[in-house]
Amino acid sequence: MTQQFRHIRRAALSHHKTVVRSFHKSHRHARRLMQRHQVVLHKVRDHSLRTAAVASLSTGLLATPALLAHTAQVQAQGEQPDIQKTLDANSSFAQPVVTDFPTFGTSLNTESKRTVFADRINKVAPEGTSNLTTDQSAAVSQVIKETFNILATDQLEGVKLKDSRGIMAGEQHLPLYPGDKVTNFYRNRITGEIADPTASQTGMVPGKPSYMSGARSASEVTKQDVDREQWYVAVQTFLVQGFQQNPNKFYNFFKFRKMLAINQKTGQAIVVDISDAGPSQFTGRIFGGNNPVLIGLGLGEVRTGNILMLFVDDPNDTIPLGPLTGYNP
Amino acid sequence: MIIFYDHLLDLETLDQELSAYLPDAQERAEIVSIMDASLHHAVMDVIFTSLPTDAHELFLMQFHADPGAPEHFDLLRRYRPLIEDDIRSTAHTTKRQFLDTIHAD
Repeated sequence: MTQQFRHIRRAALSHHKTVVRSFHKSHRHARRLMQRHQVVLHKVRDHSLRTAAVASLSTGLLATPALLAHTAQVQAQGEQPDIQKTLDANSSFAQPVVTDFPTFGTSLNTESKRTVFADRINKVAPEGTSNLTTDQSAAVSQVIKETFNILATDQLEGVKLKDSRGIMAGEQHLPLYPGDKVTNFYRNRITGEIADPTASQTGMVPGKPSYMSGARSASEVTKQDVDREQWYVAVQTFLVQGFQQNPNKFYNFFKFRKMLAINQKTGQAIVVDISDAGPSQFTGRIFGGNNPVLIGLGLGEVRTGNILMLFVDDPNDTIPLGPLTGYNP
Repeated sequence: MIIFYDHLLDLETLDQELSAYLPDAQERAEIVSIMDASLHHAVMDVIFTSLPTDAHELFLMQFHADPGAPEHFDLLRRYRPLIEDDIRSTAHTTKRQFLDTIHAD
């Protein structure tokens, strides 16, 4: 080992400490998250190789010949103890932490899976009307991702609802074209399936909704129009921070925006879309939901209940509207 | 690909620059390995800064599940369209800072 090498290695380790310190200073929650998920940044390359090997993928694309040589050296001799010690000491990861949630078998029926989902959500964010904390939001997103493989968060593109949890009450149907009739909502106009048997009692909005379909007559109504109306919710878009300064920007952001509505009591979840703004603040309600939404959330009888509402990150528009049934496990 | 942002790190250049000081390939490999660890932290700093805090944990989970998946960029670009430029630039700066300390000595 040359003097020059010892000097450069000392400089590299010192530089490494500075970089790690800077990272953790900027993101103080990172260490906890990395511990929780057993992410060890200075070992991520080894981890990746193991992951790739397990997946039977090609391992022939190592980053550099130098790293190949180093990997071979480590495998042959074990890593230099002082370097390993230094890297470990500065690691984002101290010791393995068992994940908070047990893994369940796949033999549960849908109702049991719903219950498991509700339990998991309530464990990380107990049911209530208060907004989610940052930690709760991250944990809820994690549970949703694991359960439905959907990315849902309480903040998207810098926009956050004033309230992401609160009381949802029933809304009236939205006309899909000028002159639409409430009786048209009994059945899904495309599939013919029963959609809302109580549409007459529910009624139809007399004026124009915030976001109107482009159809000018019954013949122009598309499946997308029908789905959007069937699974629509109203949220208080006008209470979002910055709305008053730039209503056009938020109008476009919220137009038919996909959301995930969750009943934390039952674990029922529906991908819905925003087709209207409301309810008014004086009502004390936070969200409005079309009748099929209320039914899908288990609120068909009482027509009101506490709901968690999150943004769905679906840039390619691949997630269909409607109740989520593919609970995993 | 081992890590999804590997192509932005350009470790080969670092190896070449080090060869002026360290002719021994094994010694260079050891230094590159330390720098590699530093770069992962520097890049993660860029990623965490670009993503909303709420998405950090989800990203870590997905990253841990498959560190080489290029699909990670889909999520990142959603919040930071030019994230690759940021990572490339940060990697360059991090390597430069280290090399400057050697040059200065």
